[in-house]
Amino acid sequence: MTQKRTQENFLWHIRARQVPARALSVVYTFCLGGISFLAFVVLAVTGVLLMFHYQPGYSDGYHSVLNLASVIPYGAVLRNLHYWAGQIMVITVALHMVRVVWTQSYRPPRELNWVVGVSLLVITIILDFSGYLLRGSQESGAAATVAVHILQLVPGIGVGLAAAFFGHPTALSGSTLMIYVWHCVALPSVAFYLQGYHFWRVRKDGGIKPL
Amino acid sequence: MDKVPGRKLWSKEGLVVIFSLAIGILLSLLLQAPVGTSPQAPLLAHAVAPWIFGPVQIALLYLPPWLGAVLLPLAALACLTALPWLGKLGGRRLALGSFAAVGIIIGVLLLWFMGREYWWH
Amino acid sequence: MEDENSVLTRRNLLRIGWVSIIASGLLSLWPLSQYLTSSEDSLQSDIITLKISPLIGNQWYHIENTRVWLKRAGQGYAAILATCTHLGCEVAYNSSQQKWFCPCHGSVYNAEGTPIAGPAPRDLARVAVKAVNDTLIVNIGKVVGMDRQIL
Repeated sequence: MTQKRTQENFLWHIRARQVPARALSVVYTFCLGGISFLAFVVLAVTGVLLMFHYQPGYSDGYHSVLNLASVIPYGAVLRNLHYWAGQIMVITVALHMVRVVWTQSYRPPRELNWVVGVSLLVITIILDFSGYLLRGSQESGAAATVAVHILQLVPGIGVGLAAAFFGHPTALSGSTLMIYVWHCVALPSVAFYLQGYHFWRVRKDGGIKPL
Repeated sequence: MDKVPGRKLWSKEGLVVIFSLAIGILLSLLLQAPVGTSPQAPLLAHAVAPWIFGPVQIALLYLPPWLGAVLLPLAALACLTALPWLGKLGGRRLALGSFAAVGIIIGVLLLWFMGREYWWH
Repeated sequence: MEDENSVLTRRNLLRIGWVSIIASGLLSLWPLSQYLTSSEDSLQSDIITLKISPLIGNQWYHIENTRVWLKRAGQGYAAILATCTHLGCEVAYNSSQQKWFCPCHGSVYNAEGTPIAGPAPRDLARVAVKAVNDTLIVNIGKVVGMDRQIL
């Protein structure tokens, strides 16, 4: 019963009967947050589908990507869609941030939601990077090696953090089981819940008010 | 503040969804996502970072790693996170100014990277 | 309703609940970090053995699937690790230019592995190599100085 109530409350907030007129103005928001969320949904759907054929690992990663891109029916289109949705998401998230700064939508009482947004930006960038590593190419191996060495420079926690996030990539392939799990399960789940909270706060903080 | 029925917003959102999906599908039908170089191929002489990390690759060319890849990115992140409080302290000018400073540095490094790796070859 | 003297008031129960949730969360941090950072399932030996081949001459020769390059030096052999001293990328030897090139940030080393361009701070590491009958044993865990490379 209470569970249902909370869900209804959440949906009422997200999908209110009445919205400020300003929210309808495309030139005010440019739909950038919405497009970012749409890209996230596309990435989740195509990502789950790609998981049915992708194998992480030193040479398996690259080979399964080649298989997806060449022999598996519609594999190439799915992978392309996943790739382009990812590229678009990074751009729209960054532009969404520029829009929020321009309209000063970070001002009180929205400080908390701004910080949530910054963490979503960071997660988006890490997701983009880990996806690039999972390609398993030589370039991805070089990128993973550089990232591991950089992370290890952080005093105290760096070495452990690098091992926990990257596992042990080689210099020639960045595809490891660790990165796979972070990219496909752990980080998207965190991003999903943060996004839910982000949208709920947008409505709770009064939708989009005139300046 | 004017209020309008929510379904007006929904229909606009629906249009944007259809339009964006159409663009995404068109992109993925026309443009192949790169696959990179096989780990079994001869060793690469030159590995280009993905464009999103181009600014970091450029910074690492000229700065020590702890500065270019740890301290500066963390400083930029701290500046972004602190924006609401910067706004409280110094108003729109300070907030917008610090955001623009971070954005311009990243933008210049990105242009530098694109020029170096793709445009002036 | 609530018994004032009871320890188990509603408020106390809630407080115990919160404290135990936070405490168990904190207590699980150490095991969790140990679990996530373990490399027990990917341990690799530092020792590489291979048959002496006539291909190993006066130019650096790459041992497949490793980062080790070998060449003849004086009476013995020298082994060098093709790991860039900047950020660990795998460098490759260009035998026509007699230089090592790093793909990541453009570091260049001369034939002996001393950096001559780019951000690399140190020489490429030399590791211990030993000839036993017709077999070469390379210990990539044992870094040696350039003067002690020949064993």
